[in-house]
Amino acid sequence: MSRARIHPVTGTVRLRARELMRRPVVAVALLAQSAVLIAVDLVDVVGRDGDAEQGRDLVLLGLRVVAAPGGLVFGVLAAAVVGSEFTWSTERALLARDPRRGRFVALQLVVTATLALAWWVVQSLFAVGLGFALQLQAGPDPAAAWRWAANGRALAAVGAVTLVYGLVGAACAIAARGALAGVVAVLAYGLLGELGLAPLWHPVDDWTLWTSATRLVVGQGDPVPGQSLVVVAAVGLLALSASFTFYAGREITR
Amino acid sequence: MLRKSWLVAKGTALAAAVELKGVHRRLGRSPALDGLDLRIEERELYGLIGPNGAGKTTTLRITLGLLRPDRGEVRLLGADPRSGDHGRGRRVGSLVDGPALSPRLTGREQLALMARWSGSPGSEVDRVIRLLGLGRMTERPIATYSSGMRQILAIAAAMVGPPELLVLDEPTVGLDPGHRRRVDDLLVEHVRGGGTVVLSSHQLDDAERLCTRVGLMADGRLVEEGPPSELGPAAGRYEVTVGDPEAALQALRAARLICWHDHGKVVVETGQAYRPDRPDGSTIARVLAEAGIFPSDLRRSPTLELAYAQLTGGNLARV
Repeated sequence: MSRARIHPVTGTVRLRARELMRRPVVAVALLAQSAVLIAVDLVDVVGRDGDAEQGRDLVLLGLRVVAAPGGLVFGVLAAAVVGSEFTWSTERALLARDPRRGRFVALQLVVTATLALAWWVVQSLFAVGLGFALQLQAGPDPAAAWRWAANGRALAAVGAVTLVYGLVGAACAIAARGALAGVVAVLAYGLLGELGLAPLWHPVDDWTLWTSATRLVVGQGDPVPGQSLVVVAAVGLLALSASFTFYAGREITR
Repeated sequence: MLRKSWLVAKGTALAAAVELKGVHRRLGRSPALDGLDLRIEERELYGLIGPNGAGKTTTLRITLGLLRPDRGEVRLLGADPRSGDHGRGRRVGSLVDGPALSPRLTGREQLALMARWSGSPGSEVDRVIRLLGLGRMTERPIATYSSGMRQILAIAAAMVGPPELLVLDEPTVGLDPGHRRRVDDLLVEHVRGGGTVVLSSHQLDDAERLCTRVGLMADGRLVEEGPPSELGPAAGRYEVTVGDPEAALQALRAARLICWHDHGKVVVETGQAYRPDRPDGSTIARVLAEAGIFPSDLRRSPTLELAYAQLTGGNLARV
């Protein structure tokens, strides 16, 4: 019996995904993000004064945390994962076999997208499960604890934001050509740029990925904010094109 | 077995597997390659020899499309080395600048990764594992490998395909004698099967024994090229071990052969390779036999060591 032929990139991604599951950095990022989520939810529950209606929607709160800062945490993870191709010089072995720079970048972005999907599923399930459980404990009505429209939209927004932060992380690693340099670059973008400098000038703050992610998730039935969608899409496209552009003329000198 | 599609039929004119014409390349401020001309035919086992900084690795990197030349023309299997067309992934295997492996993968997974990336069938993994006798070592994570094990795995990864052309930079560095011998034999078999091998090495004895042609590089240029036995000042020189060196010298000189006594051996100089009437080993054996002298050993002198010493001016610090 002959097995179905697997596309080269699919087969490569599968093996890279298997490898990622063994990396401590992935487990550390997942645990760190989960710890933040638990802490935020518990602080909110403890802060309530007995009336559940006065508390926030814990499902949405959890999903907001998964989007931001969770998105940024995932961006750091993506930079570390993609950057390791440069740190371990496995880039050289792959390019020596197939020198097409675009194909190499495409592989990195597909690996990032696959990891983003896994991250989104795990983190969203955890956020929704934890939020829903705490919500039920605080208020007796399960129907009030779950709102399909708002939560569905928030889940979709979390997925999009996670992917885009991942693409930003991958682009940083590709541009900086290293794991550490990539992580520093994405942290500089997120912490210094979006959280440090942008709030100093309100018009810029409205156009950051962080603000857009938060708005998309906590919209709560309002019409989807077009500006936030534009920002998320534009940053994603910018990260994609930057990855291919920065890497097009890549030369291996060591 | 190598794929039939690219096996060269007997009698067919051989094409160049690698061709560099007037290639210049600077790395930083200094020129790494300075107008390099190099042509390696298919079915050759070609060795690049030279001191550190001569430009060997840069040549291999440019050949593989990892670097672009500043000037000049490069062809790899008849195509631009930076193009990935015509199944390039399966046709060229390489090991340049040491092993490049993912430490969290097992050896088998690393080979599978290379097979997938190059579009080779999964059965290639088992083939190269058997070929290099890697066995159960491939079930362990690469992070647990010694440097020699990493090197042999990287060679195995280069052989996944199977490739037409193997480009190897110092392939036997760090290998134990058993694996070193196995790799040497595989390279020779690869060429016998219709493939081509380009290697750079500091192992002069290996290069002399294995290579069909050797190029001596210095300062980014090819300074001498040819079969190893015909390079350098020791080309055409033989070493004879006999019981009575003085009698042997007398007999050889009577036959008008240039010879001298050196560290218990008789050295016979037969002249440069291009002389059509040059005496060879059988001439020396016959002359000695006629004088009733039967050597216990008669062999060509190692040539590359002297050629290399001449190239580097005898300055071992450059090696």
